[in-house]
Amino acid sequence: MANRTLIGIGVTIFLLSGCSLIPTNIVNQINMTQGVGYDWAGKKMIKGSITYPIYKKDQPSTTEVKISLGETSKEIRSNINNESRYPLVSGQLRVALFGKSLAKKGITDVVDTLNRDPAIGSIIQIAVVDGDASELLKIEKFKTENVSLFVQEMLDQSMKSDNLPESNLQTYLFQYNQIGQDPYLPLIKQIEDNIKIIGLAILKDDRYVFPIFMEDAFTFKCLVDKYIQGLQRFTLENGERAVLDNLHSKAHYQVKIKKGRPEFTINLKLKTRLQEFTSPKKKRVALDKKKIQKEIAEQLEEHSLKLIKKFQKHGVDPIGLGAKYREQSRGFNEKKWRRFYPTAKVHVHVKVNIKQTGVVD
Amino acid sequence: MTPKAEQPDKEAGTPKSEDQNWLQRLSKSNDFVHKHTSIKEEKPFWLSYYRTLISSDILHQDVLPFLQENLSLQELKSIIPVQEIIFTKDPKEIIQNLMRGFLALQRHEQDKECLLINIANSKFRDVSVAMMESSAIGPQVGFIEELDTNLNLIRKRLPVPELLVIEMKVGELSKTNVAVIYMDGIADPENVNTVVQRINDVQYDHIQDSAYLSSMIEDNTNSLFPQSISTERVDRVAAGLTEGKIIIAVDGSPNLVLVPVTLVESFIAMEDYSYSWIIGNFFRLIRFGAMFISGLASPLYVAIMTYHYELIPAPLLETLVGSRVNVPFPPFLEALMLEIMIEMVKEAGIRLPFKIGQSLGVVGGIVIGQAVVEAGLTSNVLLILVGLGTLASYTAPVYKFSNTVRFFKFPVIILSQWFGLLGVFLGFQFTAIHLIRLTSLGRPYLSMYPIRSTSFQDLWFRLPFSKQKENPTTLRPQKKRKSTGNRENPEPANDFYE
Amino acid sequence: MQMNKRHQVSPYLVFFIVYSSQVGVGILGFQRTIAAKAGYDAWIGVILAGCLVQLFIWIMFKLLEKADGDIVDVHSKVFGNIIGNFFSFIIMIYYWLASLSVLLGFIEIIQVWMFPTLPSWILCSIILVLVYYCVSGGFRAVVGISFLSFIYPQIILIVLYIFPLKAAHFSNLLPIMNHSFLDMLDAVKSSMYTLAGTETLLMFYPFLRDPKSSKKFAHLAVLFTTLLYTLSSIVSFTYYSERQLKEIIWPELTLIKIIRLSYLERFEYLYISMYLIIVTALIALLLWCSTRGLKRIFKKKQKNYLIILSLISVVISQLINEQWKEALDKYVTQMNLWIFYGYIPILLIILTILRRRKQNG
Repeated sequence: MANRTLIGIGVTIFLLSGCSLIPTNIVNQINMTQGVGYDWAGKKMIKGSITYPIYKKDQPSTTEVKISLGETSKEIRSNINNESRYPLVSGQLRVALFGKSLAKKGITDVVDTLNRDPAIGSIIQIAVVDGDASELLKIEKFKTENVSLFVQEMLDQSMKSDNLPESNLQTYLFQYNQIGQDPYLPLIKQIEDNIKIIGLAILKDDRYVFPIFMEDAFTFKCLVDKYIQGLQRFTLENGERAVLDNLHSKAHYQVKIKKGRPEFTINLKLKTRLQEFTSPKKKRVALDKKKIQKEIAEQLEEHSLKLIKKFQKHGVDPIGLGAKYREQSRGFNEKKWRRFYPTAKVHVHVKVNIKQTGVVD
Repeated sequence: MTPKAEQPDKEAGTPKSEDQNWLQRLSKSNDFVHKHTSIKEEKPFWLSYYRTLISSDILHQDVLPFLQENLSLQELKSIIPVQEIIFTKDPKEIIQNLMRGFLALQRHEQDKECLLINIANSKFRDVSVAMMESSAIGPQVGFIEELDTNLNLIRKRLPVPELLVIEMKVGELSKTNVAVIYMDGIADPENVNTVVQRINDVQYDHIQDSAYLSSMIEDNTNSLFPQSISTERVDRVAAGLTEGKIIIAVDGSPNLVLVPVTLVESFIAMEDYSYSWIIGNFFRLIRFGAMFISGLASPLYVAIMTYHYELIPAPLLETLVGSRVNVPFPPFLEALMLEIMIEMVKEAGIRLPFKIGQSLGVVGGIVIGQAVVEAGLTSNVLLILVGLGTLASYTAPVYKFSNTVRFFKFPVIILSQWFGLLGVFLGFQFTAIHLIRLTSLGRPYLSMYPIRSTSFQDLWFRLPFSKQKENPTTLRPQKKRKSTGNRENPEPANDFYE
Repeated sequence: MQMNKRHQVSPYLVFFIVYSSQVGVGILGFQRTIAAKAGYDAWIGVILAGCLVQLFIWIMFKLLEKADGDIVDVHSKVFGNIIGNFFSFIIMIYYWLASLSVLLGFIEIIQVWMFPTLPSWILCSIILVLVYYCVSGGFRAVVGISFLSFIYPQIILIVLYIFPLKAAHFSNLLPIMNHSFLDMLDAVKSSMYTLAGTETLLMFYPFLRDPKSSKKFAHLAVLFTTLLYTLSSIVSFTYYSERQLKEIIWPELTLIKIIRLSYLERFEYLYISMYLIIVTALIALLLWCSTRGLKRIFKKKQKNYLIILSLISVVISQLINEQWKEALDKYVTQMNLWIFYGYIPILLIILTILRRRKQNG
């Protein structure tokens, strides 16, 4: 008797084994969105572009870009779904680009869906495009090369071994929600047929305010991030040029309250190695390490102060001085801080240590 | 105290009159010979035997010459140079022994008294290399189908009087000799009693192979996992005996059964001991890993390809999706098809005669697989995974276990089709619970729980011989410590140590 | 009440049982609830809650030692059979409701993160079939699965904390102790429920082969869980900013999203699937306690109760909606707090008084 029920169950299982209880996402029957771009299209409408690869047998894949208008991100997706052969899914999303027009108005609405969807990862790259995001995604050259992967890996590589500070969806959300900090995002631009990183976009809350270009990126990254690699050229007094490769740097922040107002001291220590050194004197001279270190340190200090003053003028705080203030003192009041910020005093002390000079002195 | 072997009286129902007429009963078969050594009616002797069971050499050389003179049966018993001679009147005993190849000698045709002389023919396959279990190095000798030869091989390895043998007969029609072997003073008497009692409780017509017997005395017949190990190798049996295992040898089967066992012992190959302990452990680890690969490769493929495309990192995406581009079937059917195909190839390979089997191996494995991929019916990534999985399952030294592993992936594939990655873990969980509940002869099958320190000496990985000091606790041996001496590596003689 | 010696477990296994009875679905989302009032100082609250639980275990051991049996015995000794059985019955219903809330919590996670369209009753039935198979193997099987669930998923999941710690902002935790005592109490209260589970000891005490030496393993287990929860909350706090944390329902899971290996991305799917093992172990333990208690009270077969409770759970899981689920959670939390932290110590006092009276009188 029990055997018959078991056999019955067995047969049912066998028959059901072809059916699926849950809608399947068979990997070659879906279109995996790998990159999205959002632009402002006037009157509350957003122009969304979605890129996804089309895989062929024994041939490299091609990228499709589709554009549509809509009020929200998911609405755009369902519009584009009407034109695509397979359903669009967002699990493999890697890059989200915002055109400058939309970034100026605020990107929170779109970021909300990126945050809320459990299928989207948290380390996707977000970047602001100096121009139109959909134009960037539609570059001809990238029809056969995957444009989203290109952008993502280009940004990744720059963050790891160049002067771009670490940034992704998670850091953006962290900074956006952090009291006393404003977020920053990488800034890319389409130059003829290529995509290039031109700097950082500084946002106030979630609106794009102004850019920092790559020359300032080194200093900025020293202030906000732990450094592993990155090159920067310094021109010294007597026309000598030194290019330093930053091996390791960390910035320590100290807050002192003087007369009810906070005063910041930033201690920056750089461990570097010398990559290039040219001198206007044609004769080879031995390096005076101490002198060079001191000069570079002074230059960095000046540069950082200039940057910080610029931030204070615009009323944005991407370095997070407010957050540091909040950590090191009790009784932090956000409104008061906002009043203090433009005139807060900041001191920067930099110490540069050239550990290696290559194989030549 | 050795437990006695009991034989329930199976023939208690037959009335004695039938047995009296054993001659008539047995004469129904044409190969039963009943003849008179002389022409005259009154003279002895009358011989009865099965022509097909006896060795005519022994009959002619060792028995017939002594029948020239008219001696009494008792005198004959002391003269005939055959080792097993029984003098009896019991017709049941006569029948039993005639069936074993004995010669029944009567002085006169209607005599009740018989002399039973053992002239059985014991020609079998010679002792040779173990057929199913081979290894790269180490002793290769394997058991054969004859019980006494097998016992001979074991006794040669462990020539101590503690090695005890209990003999029984099992099977209504096959009357198979079964021997239970164990080391007195090491093996747990409770285990021995359990084994003997279970064998005695077996009721079946014929026992062809030790596997029949081991299935019938198993704790849980519905389990996929074998609760005993069958082996052809003498060194494995001997090692098991010294740890406290109990061996069941069945006449007519070259496989001997070891009980009780744990899951991990199915991964131990005897050649581990022939290598240095570090290398031996490495190979053991590879076998563990191979089991997981074999059981999980296809289900993970099905799960990820069907539901979880997000798990694939970008560089792999092109390879995986590209390989499936023109495949018309969902991953589940693909995987099922390929797995079943490989099983068919394997089954066919076993049945075919040697010469054809060789060529089929090449054809089936490579050409069909390649052709299927070229035709676009499956993806080549899956082919690699399935091939790897099947290969990995063959690394299990115990043949029964590799079948378990290969069968195991089918339910998991079905589960992964239903529930994706969750299904794979459901299968894993179900197996884990099953293994925890499984017992071999009442001892826990999964040696992970509860943890015993002894299981780290020779089970999960083996320590060098000088550190293997204790017998595994799962067997509850009486003798807990092995006779391992202390030997540390001699200190190197250099100035540092002086 | 003496158990058959074969069914008893060694002392060191108590570590795994107690550990597995505490770690459930709570650890995935509790960071948000404890930080609700106490902010980023809530991790101190976790440690305090851990101390309270240690005290509780000590009280339980004393109580069960005096009665030499499980809670059913205690009740019979204190209140007599009828009233005692009534109180025991309430406790058994608590165990069942606790298992139900764990089950519903896990099903919700699966429906949000992995398979939105999977009907609850299917998943519920599958898990309960597994649990039935486990519980019908007796206490030994339940302990075995707790042990295995520690060895395999848990250790891996603990090791995974390395990844978020690499990107941690430890300064988030500053300033320490910036909240009022009442806020901290709230955090303590919230963490008490997540640390709950040790009350299963009330049922499996007779199965301990050596209660005296098992005590230290139980305390060790609670210490380990406390440390684990503290670590988990610190990891969450250093990874998210405070306002960000307020929005995230399952901080722990969102944390796991960032893990990226060369052959596997989006680890959270694996994590949730591995969590199935932990959840099954916990539900099996709770249902075992519940059905065993019912068996002892009503003297019928344990199998029947298990089937009845499972069927009711399946039906509830399909019919329940969000409101009722929250009410259930709240109700179970309250029950836990009052029954175990309020009532049990009272029981101990009563039993001690009764014993003294018996000794004197």
